Amino acid sequence: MSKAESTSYSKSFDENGTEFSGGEAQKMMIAKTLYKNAPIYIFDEPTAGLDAISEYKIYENIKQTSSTGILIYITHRLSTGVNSDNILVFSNGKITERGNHIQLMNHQGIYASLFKSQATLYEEVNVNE
Amino acid sequence: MNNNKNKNNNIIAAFKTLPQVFSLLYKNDKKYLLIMLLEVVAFSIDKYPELLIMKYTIDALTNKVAYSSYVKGIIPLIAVMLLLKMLRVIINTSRPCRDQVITEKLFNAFFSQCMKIDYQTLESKEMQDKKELAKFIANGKIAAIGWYFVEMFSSLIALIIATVFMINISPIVLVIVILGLVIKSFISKKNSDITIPISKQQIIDNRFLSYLYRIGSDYEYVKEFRIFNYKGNLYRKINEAKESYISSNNRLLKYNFIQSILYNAEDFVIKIMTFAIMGFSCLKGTIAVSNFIFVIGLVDDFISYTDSLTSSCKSYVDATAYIEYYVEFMNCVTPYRLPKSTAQPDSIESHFIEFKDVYFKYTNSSDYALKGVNLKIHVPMKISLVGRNGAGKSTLVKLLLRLYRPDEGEITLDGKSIYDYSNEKYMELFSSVFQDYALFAFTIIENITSFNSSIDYTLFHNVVNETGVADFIKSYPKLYGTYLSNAYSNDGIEFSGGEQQKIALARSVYKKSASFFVLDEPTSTYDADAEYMLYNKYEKILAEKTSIFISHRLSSCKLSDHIVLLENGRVIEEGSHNELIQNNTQYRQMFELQAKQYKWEENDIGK
Repeated sequence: MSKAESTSYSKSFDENGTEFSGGEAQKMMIAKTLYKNAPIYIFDEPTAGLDAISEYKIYENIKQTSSTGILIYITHRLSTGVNSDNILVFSNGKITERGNHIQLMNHQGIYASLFKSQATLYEEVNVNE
Repeated sequence: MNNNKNKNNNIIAAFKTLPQVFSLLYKNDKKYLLIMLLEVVAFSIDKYPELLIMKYTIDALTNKVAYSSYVKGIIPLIAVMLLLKMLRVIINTSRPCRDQVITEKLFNAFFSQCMKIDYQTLESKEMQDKKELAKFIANGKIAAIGWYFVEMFSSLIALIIATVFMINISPIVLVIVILGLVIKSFISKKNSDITIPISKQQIIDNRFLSYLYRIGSDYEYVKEFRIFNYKGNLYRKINEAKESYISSNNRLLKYNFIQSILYNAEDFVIKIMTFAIMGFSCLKGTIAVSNFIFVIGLVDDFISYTDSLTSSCKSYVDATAYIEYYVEFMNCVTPYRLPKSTAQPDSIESHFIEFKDVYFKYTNSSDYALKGVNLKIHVPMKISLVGRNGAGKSTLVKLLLRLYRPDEGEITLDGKSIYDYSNEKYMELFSSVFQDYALFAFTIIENITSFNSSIDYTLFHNVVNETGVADFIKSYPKLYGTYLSNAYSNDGIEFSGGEQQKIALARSVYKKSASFFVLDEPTSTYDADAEYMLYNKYEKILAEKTSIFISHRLSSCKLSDHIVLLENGRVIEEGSHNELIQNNTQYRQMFELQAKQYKWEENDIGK
């Protein structure tokens, strides 16, 4: 095994270990998850510390790598919902809304209002343009 | 670690720390050295009264001395013996308390040094290691060193005394004993040549093994273990590490066993020879019976004193390495220590900060993290600092907060270098929520008010209402008296990430002296609703203040009147949102990338 493949993560026990940055560690976690090649993947805020461009690339990669499996995203960034087949909205321990993005937007419930509140901050600009 | 080992093996280096050890002890307890001296005296002559009593008695018997003169002669010896015993009792009871006090004093000094050293120096890996090793002083190392020194020094004196006696009575026995010593040290050298590399490997194996045990039981890994099925793989790793550890341990035991067999055999031979030589001379009548007994006793003592001398020497050398780390850490003169009292910022309402061609490089890094940054910050102003991971956003903010010092260029406040101001006065102007903010296990109110004894309740209530702390705290019976976590209280609460961030924001806003607010991803764990509410109140919460907001969610840039985009340590774009979005900027590219994800009507969703 080459040195490049066997770098220790952190210096906990190995003096020559590397302390990776938060963004690097997050990318490694995603790699670890996808390496398992399971039919169901769960991602809980996978890109919290990543910049817009890295985030975009990672979502694209996850989509490609795991195209045949089930993907479950847990996130506060509701834009993830747009491309999801099914969205579950939890409120006080209950599923209060479910459906795809269009259905939930038409339903005008919590999801729609949360989505709009995030979207407006981006939308205004498009109006200005 | 290698460095550490070299230090351990060097006995001369260890003795060079003696003045430091003594001065540490003396500074913290004026009588300590006196007690040590008494201890040395007590230990070094400890065994002689008994030996001498025996010799004296046999002499009296063989020479048929009158009873009264025998008693007269023996009284002083018994008195000395009693005195020495009493001395030991007194020392043994008073020393542990003194050790405790010294340890606490040293730890307090260590703690205050941690606060004093500037961030940039303290942050380095080398300094962190040194700090951790220096902290061992709190485990009573200093007392142990005192004890090893006493043992070492008193064994040495005792050996000298024994040598003097033996020269006078039987030089040939002395030669045999010293020859034995030489053989012993030869065996010991051979043994350590073999065992030291094994021990070194064992330290490494041990660290690895304890890391494996830790991840096997630590809560933070529990989830990963269950999902990724690490159990079997971890057992395999543990078994491998354990096997390697046990096999080296067995080798160590074997060599130590051989050594102790040889030692014992040698002691036995020396004693037999002593008996033979002394017995022969005694029978021939060349020496007195009393001297026969006396020398046998001396040889016994000689052997035990050499053993305690070598073992205490070894322990002393090992322990002084920590003293060295402690002294080095305490004496660390940080190149950036600030003058105590210097200029105070004018109490003008509108401060002005300027970055003038600022360069900054991390130690051990070949590339500059900031490369000629120019930036003007007024009060009031709302700034968004954006850029990709590693662009230099957090570094810039750390320079502004004087946690790092620029390598080139200058940062000024109201026209004067920020380093001309006293630390206290400068920091009064700043408040922050760091990405890796830390809250304390105190109550909510203590956290928000930075455990200040006087609390501005009007401000406090404003702050908790505006930051949303008031909303979630309602459901806890103790309200603001609720403890964060159970670190030391029994009814503390583990708040969610979003709630903790709100508390951190409240703490930051509560700092009323501040004009500049650095907010580094302050809403990363907020839900959409909470984030939206904060954005709506943002202008009100930070009215008349300057804020520097760092976030990867570019929607937050709408809060700011000025956006600064960093790329590879340079400010490449600057301006208002509208200005930047109208041109072909990187900012626009990033913003649209995120905005696109919210333009749902145009997406094909009917999959």
